Amino acid sequence: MRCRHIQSMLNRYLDGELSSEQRGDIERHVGACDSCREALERLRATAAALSQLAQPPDIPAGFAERAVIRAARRREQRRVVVPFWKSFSPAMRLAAAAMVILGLGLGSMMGLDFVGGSATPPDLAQADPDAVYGFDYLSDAPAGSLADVYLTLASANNGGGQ
Amino acid sequence: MPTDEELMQAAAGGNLDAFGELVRRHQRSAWNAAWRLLGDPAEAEDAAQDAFLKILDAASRYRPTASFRTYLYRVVTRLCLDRLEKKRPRYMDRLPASPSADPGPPEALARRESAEAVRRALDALPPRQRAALVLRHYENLSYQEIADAIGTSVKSVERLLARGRDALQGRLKEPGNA
Repeated sequence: MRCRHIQSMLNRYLDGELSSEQRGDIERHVGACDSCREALERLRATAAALSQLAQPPDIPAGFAERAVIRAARRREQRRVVVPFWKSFSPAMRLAAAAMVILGLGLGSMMGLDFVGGSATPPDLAQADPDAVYGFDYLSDAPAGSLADVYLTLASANNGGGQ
Repeated sequence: MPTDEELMQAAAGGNLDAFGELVRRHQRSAWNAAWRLLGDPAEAEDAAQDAFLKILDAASRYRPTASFRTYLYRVVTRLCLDRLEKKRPRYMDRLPASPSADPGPPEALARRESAEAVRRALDALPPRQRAALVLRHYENLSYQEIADAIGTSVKSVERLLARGRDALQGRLKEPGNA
C-alpha cells in the first residue's frame, strides 16, 4: 500500500511539484525500497531519452517581419469591408424596415384570400342535397338523372335481376 | 524598456511596432513549442504566426492575470492541439529518410537515430499527452501552467504526464528504437 502511494507521487517528485516534506518522505522510502527505486529510475531514463530529441531548427529568418506584415494586411482588409447595414443612413434604414413590415402585412392579407377566404368550414347539414345525393348510391335516383339511366341499363342487362 | 503588458496595451491601440516587438521577444518560445508539438517546420511557422495574430486580435481584452509567456503558451498549444487532433499521426505521413551518401561518424549517426526514435515515439502519443510532455520537458512549465495552456486541471496534467511517460517507455523499448 505504501509503495503504491509512493509510486503515485513519483511523477510529481521528478517534476519538482512536491513540498520539501513530501520530497524527504519519498527519498527515505526510495532509499530502502528496490521496487520504488527502480520505478524512479525508469522515469529518469524516460526524461533522459526525451532530452535526446533534436533541438529545434533555427527560427526561420524574417519570422517577426512576416507576422507584422500579415497583421497590417488584416487590419487593412477589415477597414475596407464596411458592414452592409451600417453603410445605410438612419433614414434609409427606417424606410427599409417600414417597407418590410408593409410587405409582410400585404402578403398575409393576400394569403387569406388565396387559401379560401371563409374561416368557417362547410356545414354538411346545410349543403346542397343534390351535391350530397351524387354520392348516395342507396337512394332512388330522380327520373331523367344520369344515375337513373345507369340503373335502368344495369337492370336491363341483368334481366331485372331475375 | 516597456513590459509585455505595456506592449500589449499599445498593440491593442493599433501600434504595430509594439506588436512587432512582442513577436521578436517571444518568437523563439512560440516557434520551439510549435516545432516540438508538430514536428514540421512549415506547419510550426504557420501555427506560431497564427498564435501571434490571435493574440493581437484579443489584445484589447487581454488582462495580465498570468505572465504573457504563459498566455502565449496557451494560445500556441491550443492551436497546435487543434491541428494535431484533425490529422493522422505524423509518423504515418513521413517518408523514410533516404540514406545520405556520408552518414558521418558512428556516434553522430547513433545520436541521430536516437533522436529519430524519440521523435517517432513522441509523434505516436495522443496529442494532449504529447503537449503535456513537451511543455514540461522542453518549455519547463509548471503543472499549473501546463493545465492553463492545455485547458485542463492540474490532476489531469499529472495523469497525462504519467501515461505519456509510460507509453514512451514502452515504445522506446521496442526493437529498433532502443
